[in-house]
Amino acid sequence: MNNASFIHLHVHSEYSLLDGCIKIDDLLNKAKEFNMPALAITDHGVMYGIVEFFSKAKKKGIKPIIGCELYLAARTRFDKDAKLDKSSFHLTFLAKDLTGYQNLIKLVSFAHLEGFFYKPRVDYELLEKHHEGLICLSGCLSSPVLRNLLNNNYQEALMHANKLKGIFGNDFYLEIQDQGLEEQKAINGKLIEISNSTQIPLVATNDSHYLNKEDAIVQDILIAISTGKTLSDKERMHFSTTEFYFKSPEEMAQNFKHIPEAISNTAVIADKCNLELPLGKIFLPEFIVPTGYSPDSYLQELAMDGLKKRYTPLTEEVTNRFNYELSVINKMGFASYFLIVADFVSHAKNNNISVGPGRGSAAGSIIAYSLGITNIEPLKYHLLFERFLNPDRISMPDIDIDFCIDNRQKVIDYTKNKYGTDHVAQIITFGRMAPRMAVRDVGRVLDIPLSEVDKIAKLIPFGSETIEKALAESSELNQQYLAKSQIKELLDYSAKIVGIARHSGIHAAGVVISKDPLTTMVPIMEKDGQMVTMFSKDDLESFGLLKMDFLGLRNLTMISKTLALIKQSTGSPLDIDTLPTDDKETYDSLSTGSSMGIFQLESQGMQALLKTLQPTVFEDIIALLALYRPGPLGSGMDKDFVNCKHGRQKIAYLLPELEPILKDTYGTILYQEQVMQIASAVGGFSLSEADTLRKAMGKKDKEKMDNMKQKFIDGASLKTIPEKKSSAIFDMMAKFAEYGFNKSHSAAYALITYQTAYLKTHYPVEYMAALISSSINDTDKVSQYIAEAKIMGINVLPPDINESFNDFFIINSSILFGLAAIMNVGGNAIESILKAREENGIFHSLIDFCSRVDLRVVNKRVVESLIKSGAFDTIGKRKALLSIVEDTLNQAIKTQKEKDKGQLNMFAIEETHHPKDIFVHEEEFGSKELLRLEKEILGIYLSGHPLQDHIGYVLNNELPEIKNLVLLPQDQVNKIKMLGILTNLKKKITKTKKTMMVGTVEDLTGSLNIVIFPQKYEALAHMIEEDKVYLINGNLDFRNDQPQIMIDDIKEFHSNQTDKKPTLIIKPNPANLEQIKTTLLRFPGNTPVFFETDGYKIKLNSKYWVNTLNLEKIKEEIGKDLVSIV
Amino acid sequence: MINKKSILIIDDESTIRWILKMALEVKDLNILEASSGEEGVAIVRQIKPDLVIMDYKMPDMNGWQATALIKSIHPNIIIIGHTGYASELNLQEGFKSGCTEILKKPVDLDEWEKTITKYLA
Repeated sequence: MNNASFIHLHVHSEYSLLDGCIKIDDLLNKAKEFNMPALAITDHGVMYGIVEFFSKAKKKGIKPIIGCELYLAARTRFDKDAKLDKSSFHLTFLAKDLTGYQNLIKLVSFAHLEGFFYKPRVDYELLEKHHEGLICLSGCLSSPVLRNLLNNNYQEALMHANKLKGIFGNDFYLEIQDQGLEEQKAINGKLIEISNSTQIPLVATNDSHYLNKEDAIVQDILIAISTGKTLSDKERMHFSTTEFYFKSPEEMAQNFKHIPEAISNTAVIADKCNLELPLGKIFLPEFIVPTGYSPDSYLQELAMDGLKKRYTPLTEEVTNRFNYELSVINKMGFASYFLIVADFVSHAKNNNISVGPGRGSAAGSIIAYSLGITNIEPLKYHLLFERFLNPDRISMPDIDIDFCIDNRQKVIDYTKNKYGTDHVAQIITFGRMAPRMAVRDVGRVLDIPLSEVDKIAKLIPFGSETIEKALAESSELNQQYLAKSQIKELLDYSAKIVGIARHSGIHAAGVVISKDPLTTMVPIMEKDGQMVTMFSKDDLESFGLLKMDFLGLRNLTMISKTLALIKQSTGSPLDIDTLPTDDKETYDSLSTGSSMGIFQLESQGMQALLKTLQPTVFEDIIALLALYRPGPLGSGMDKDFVNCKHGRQKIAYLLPELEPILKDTYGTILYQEQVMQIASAVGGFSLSEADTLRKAMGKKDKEKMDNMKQKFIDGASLKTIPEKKSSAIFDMMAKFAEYGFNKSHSAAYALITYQTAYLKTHYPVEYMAALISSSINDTDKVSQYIAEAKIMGINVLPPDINESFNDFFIINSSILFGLAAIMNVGGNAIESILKAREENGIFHSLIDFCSRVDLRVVNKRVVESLIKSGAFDTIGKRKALLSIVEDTLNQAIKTQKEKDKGQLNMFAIEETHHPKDIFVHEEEFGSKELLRLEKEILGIYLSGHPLQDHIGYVLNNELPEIKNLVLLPQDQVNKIKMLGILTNLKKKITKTKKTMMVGTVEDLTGSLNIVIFPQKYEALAHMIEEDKVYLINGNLDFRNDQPQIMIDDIKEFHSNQTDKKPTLIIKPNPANLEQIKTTLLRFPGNTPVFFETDGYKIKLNSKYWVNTLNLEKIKEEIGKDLVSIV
Repeated sequence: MINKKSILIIDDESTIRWILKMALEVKDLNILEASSGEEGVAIVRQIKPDLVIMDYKMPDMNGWQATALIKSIHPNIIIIGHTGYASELNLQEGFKSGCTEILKKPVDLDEWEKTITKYLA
């Protein structure tokens, strides 16, 4: 029999998600090997993989047949009874042509949107409506025909067969399979009988779930992974034979030699299928313009209005650029696209949803700037339009927009309303099996001990994309692989599943907007309440559908929050869009490197670069973002840049023409735009050609570059630039183009960076409150930011049940803790507390509180956490309150019940009545315990610090503090002795299998990384404990520009008797009495304050005592010479 | 408040007066100041404060002399004296002149606050 006569029409790819493990490339290679002229893909209920399959098959010269194995509801697709409708039938569909494809999409989409019940289900009504252009195969053992045969319902089976024949006519086939299953042996004969009696032709398929027979185990593993079982579990769901593979035509012919027509019909069917997907065309959505306008003319009018507002007067340069851009946009047919983006951006702005100043290359367009899509002036910063839209290169425009993360969905919802829910959807993504994940999953399924699996997983180097690569890179892994058969098995199986699609998700930002209803081209499903396309981002693009990124940027949310707080505390709003970009104080504060919380500058390496760069102008910030990337840093470009800026290195230009282009970056080529400008200024390129060159250089496309080099040299010679020079310049461009960064993007993002830096400098309290709130669910970040706030001299108050809100908030220039940052206190509990407070005022006692909140969400753990955090301090002592929580809750529940029953007399629930707490004792915890609880619940020490009582010791013994340590010489190792606590401790295993420790040391002025090497660790391990106070000896160095202490020795620190509690002494000066008072009130705490005047001391009342954590700030405000601590 | 209590602080040192004022700010009080015994007596003649805080050591008229004068105008006025010369003799002299209570230096303002609260309650 001829190879070509059998064609697989029932194939599950990896996109059946853990119910199929065939990768499309492998599938096509195998089909090619079998000489198969055509091939179908029929994933379970989804069409995720069809675009990839279609285009790759075309390239291989194989005819792609698009299909789907769908579920047929037992009754109608709307019936969802737990018993009657739980199981559904399987049916296989293949598209003959575009009509068939469109009907298939509708079936799949409706199955998901209307018929989803355990599985996406269609019903006969849908099949009747959308059968045109489709071939229907009767399906596997779960099909309506076969399952009825299995159950001895011959008549019922016949009824289904006839019904489907009635719908699909000659395009309905009885599918016959033989995977060696007992059931198949029993009924295939009956199936042939039905075929004979009904004249419905047979077609042979093999229910392929894996490629080769030996991959059966892989499928088994995948099913075990998805069902959470192990292979040794005999009860688990699995295929009972190993015949579900992509069989060769010979094997198929052999299996079905008794019915050869079933084999030859595969070719008949393949011949019927001639679908051409309209890939590579563009279907941009239309923006409905007012009557009398075309999209082009409307865009022109809107943009011109905007332009006039942006520029007064309109210079020739501006108008020329405007007209040029407009003509390109209109010529390329993108007017509607710009109108759509401008529309939802302006909707966002009108509804107080903050929008980023730009993202990506769109910031290079003056039209985008005029329309308010971007907010950075392109001419001033030499941003180029051609980098965004190159008229020489037809490609889809790509404008990505950042929105405040909390309100992004509102903008998406707006577009849905505007263009119709059937025109707007979010986009699917696929999570793929990574090597480490694969090893862990397979290890669990094989029942290998977790510790062993973990060890192997950790031997896989980060960034290894495959097991094969990992084996090549890690000799230790390779050794294990060769030495132990179990490990070999583990890694071999893992290798088979690495890269396989494991689960689906929603793309974080992508939204597709279509001209025609989406279901004319794209199957849709519902996921987490959102409409989602079944095609991934790239697939949609090859379909010519417009995808836009609506990104959520937390920093914008943070800026909005800061602005709201500023308005609250100053009474007047601050317009973030009109900040001066030359504010000296902002640059000065950036130059100190204290950039925590500032957009894109947070990393320690960036802080180091800030300190050496000392930015003074906005262009420096743009450059900073472009410099701090692996390429430029690796080539030392940052050092050249810094040295040239500060005049320590001479800036050399190969040609005077280069100076205006490279001046802002002190002679270095940092941006792609500069490469383009040089190509134009030296080689005489048009900017479009220059962009093409830039792209070729970035991709190191040698052939294109060589061609263009000659053109460049020729162009230069027309300007009388000798070849030697122009050739050298070309080579220099090529070198830098590799690292070059998109300046439009850098400039737009630099604006956010600058805005956050400006706010932090001028509105530190509001800024820090907003910053902390914006990461309120990340305990590490919260404690890090609070520590920073304290170092900045900002007072942070513990939460207060009667004052705090969800977020951090400002009271009298202090930051008040937000309830959401308290451990164990969730959103519902907070909502109930705030509601009770809003309705009936503040809480007067614990029992008052418990009687008024919803105790189903405010449970015992919540109440205890609130007390431990200090939120009830105005009501009672923490220890005393904790001792009555249980009784109080019971009392409140009882009262609540009585109230519900109506047994409580009316006077008892009189609103003005405030029940009092009855305490057993009124004790408080010791300060150590209070701090411990705070750290447990808030993640930080708030009312004090374990070191606070020892500050006298530090000062008397002249021990350095961390704020001084970081100023030590960076080019040497410094011996140090300090007092501190150790936190964030983590054990690490060295390559030689020894244990060492890393973590941080913390004192009142900051924190530093520490490391305890194995030898020292061994000696110290028994006494190391987090949060204990130690006298620490060690060496401080600045490897990689980061200060780090290598610990030699630690001793637990015990304050001795003579080391009395410190007190603060102020010599009041008649001129600054008011300042003293303000300062003292700003930093309340437990350290007594004395005035020393006229030779004697006056001890202030405790209201004026301070928190020595703020000593530096206090000294600064009152006057360093007037304050001392003893 | 109509029934705001008033306190007169008599001390020649403006810093001390300021500190005392600051310490008492928690209370809702009407605070008057005088920088010498003479000035204090003059104020008492016009307004009857509820309580007087009197420093002992002042140039010209000392605190105990001023106390005696004030007591002669309003015998039931409360006068809290304070002194750095807390010798038995000095204290006796103070009480004799009419001080209700005398606090010794060094000054603890928590104690001041408590004492004053006690007398004004």
